[in-house]
Amino acid sequence: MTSRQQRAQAEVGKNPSLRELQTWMVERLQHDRDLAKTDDFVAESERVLTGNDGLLPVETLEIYREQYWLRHTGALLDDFPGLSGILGQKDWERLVQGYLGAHSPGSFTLRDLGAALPGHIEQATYLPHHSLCVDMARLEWAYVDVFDALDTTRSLDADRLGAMTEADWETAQVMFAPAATLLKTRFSVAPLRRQLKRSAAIVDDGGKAPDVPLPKRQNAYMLLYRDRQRNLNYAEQSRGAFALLGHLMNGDALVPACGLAGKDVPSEAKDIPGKVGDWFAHWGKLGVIVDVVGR
Amino acid sequence: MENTKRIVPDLGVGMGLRVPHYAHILEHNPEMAFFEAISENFLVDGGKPLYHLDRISEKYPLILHGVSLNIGGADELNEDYLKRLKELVRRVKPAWISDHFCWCGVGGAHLHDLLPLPFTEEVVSLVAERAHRIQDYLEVPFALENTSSYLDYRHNTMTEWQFVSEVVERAQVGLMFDVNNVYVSAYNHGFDAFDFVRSVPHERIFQIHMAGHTNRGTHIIDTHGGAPIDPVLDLYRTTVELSGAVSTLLEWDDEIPGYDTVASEVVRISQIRDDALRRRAGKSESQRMATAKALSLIPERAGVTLDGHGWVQGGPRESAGADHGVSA
Repeated sequence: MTSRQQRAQAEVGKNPSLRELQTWMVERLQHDRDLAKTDDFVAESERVLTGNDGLLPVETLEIYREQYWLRHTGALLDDFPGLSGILGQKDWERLVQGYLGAHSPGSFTLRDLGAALPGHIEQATYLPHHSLCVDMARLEWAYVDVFDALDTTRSLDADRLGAMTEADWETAQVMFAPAATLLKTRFSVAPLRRQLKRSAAIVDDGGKAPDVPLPKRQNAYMLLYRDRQRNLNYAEQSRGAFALLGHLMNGDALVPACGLAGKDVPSEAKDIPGKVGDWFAHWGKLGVIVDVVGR
Repeated sequence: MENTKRIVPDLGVGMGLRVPHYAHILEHNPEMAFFEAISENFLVDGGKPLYHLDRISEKYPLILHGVSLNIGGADELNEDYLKRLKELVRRVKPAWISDHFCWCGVGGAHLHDLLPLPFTEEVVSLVAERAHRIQDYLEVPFALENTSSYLDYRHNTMTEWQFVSEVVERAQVGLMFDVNNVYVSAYNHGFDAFDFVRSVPHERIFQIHMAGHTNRGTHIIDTHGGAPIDPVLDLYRTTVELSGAVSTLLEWDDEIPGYDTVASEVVRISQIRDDALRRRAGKSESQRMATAKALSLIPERAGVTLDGHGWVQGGPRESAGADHGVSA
């Protein structure tokens, strides 16, 4: 028996304990249909609630059930504008209903509501443009994490960097801003998200397919970061640069990281050492590298 | 922290801090007595939310108001939440903080709603003990707000105002008195709003909330949409006459208009407050009671059309999806 089926058996008497009452109400408020249309719900509501001159007891409970769904659907829409834009209203609502049914909100903050959505979508193979949706959900959840990640108080010291010797780079660790992360996708979803947001081709367009053309499959290697004005942003990377960033973010020093990146991307291996300087300058300009420390 | 009867300052009349107004506030530094921020929107590690909060708290008195404490939930209090809240309190240094007489979930679920509590002795004891403990832990005066509600439990053993009064007295915490919520609940449950206003311990009111709502005929939804209607302003006038100079805040969360529109309502409420304080100064207690009774006969003004079902208190979050970065 699943936890959901167990919860579905929750009953309530005339004088319930606080836990009995709240367990019953949580289950009813998460129900995905109008409570007033089910005789059992009508009867148990009359046992527990008074109703008033204008509303039956079950109708007073239904007010809260409607708000539960609208509030959480709205919060997901806020955080996943690209995903909802790809799907259109009908498929978006189907997805959200399934998601909230499978993943009851548990965090005190709506900010965390979509944490399991990328994983949920991987299983939701009924969705149109399924692979694209998986990538978009991963991107949008990564953006949520980057958006409010810790600020950094470190700043890159150009003079100290210039004074570093080759031997120093053998062991020095590159420090990255907490609000920076890497994401590899099978579709170029970051530009698509930007287009969808700008065109407002999202779920409240009457359920029509989005006007924005969807991209064909093509791997994208992205550095997601918060710029100096704290805006979300992305920068596409070459495979070599992406591999090097990955090893540096894992804590490898520059010289060994270059070797590892070359093994990851043999076709670019011989070019990596010559490009590192430009890449560092680029990452420093974005504010992604915040310090280099000796070990 | 013991005996917190009105130990907080009167800040005047302020407005809820909402995302659509950030740019105006930071650019123009408008005159405003104080702002109130929704705590949960700032329980994050960094980025824009805390940046904006810090900039605004440098210039204005700032109060924190929570919506997720779940003080009446059957589960234990969330220690991680309280720890983060304490960090935020240390960062902002508000004169007081508040949350609601409500529950939000049980069994690990959190429904992000202000669900009504049963008004029973069992729940009075639970909430009072927790409120007292929270105030001690956070080391700042703490108040609880009466919520609006749409349902009523058969096993209630006392009125809402008896429940609220008993908790704040027993816990020695403040009352965040939401006048619009009194009106909404009175309409939905058929009691006299002035009975509520007259019966709470006025010396424990730390702050007053004012807001608009949506009347659906059979019931009223507390949407925080639009300006407070005249009968709510009448209740407010009486509350001030009974309570004295208490900080008052206007909340507007649904279809949030431009800053100046909200600010003009703040001015209107300030004028009513000033008038009520003048009347209080020249009136005896028995005269105030007579006024309260007479005002209860005024019907609700017609023509409220705003609708905001599913609203989130505090308006839109500052979120990744709404970020207006150049490229994302």
